[in-house]
Amino acid sequence: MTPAPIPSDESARLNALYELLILDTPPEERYDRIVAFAAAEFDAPIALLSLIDRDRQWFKARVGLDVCETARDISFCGHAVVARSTLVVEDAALDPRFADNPLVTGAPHIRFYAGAPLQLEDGSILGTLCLIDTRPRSLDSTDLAILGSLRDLAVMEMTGRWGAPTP
Amino acid sequence: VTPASGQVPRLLLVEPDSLVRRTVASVARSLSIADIREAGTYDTADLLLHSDAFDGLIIALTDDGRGIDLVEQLRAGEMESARDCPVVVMTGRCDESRVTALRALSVRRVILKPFKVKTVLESVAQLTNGQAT
Repeated sequence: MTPAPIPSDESARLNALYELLILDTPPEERYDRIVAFAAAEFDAPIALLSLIDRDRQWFKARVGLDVCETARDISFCGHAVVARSTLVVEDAALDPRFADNPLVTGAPHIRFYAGAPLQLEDGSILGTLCLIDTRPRSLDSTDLAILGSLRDLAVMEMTGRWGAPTP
Repeated sequence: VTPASGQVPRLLLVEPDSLVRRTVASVARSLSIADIREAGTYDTADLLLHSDAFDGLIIALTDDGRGIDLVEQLRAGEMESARDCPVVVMTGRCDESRVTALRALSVRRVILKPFKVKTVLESVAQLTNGQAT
């Protein structure tokens, strides 16, 4: 397993995350709705709005997962934050970065992952809107655009800026 | 749908669910399928249809009949858009009487709720390619 890497802008990224005062806040309908919509649109058993804190990923909204956080080093979303673009893992069991990840070998038995980074205007990436399935899958260009659009809506909710979507 | 050369078609999407509406419009724009104006209410749609010409209409129907009224006005040539422009409807029910009404209005496609955004986008793409039947 490859532990989730730490991005070069980690300090500024964490500052941007903390300034939003969103970590460890109660569930909010506006985020729950986006995540539920994503799960339904993609028939995904798990969908998350995941924020990458210093040592953990914390879920502001979640469908299909009982826990509200996991360790950062085993997180798929930690990899997406460094990738800076939508990370798609079609079959985690065949990917050397994730094949022996405890989230793959044990519950929730991740096989498919797609995470669209939550990027602020200053370039900081706070986490992802992600889809998880227990079977291998792929996404086409329309699927990726839909996931990206839902991600843009989540970022707009977080920042209060209803302008042009991120590229 | 015959937009000016080099331009994507301009469509009006009438849908009360903001998440559906914004996602369809955003993805259609990002994939250069269509330039979609959004209306969250029939009142907004009425204003837009009377003030602007669109290459097609995608409209969610409610049981109060106002959506059908708008399509009837469009077909009667009372709007700025061409009276024969393609129309797709989204509806929670489609019994025989509604099918008859929609057929009389030359509706190109009926999408039953609950639907996926991807289904609506495929209909938009078919509309813009002139393939919807």
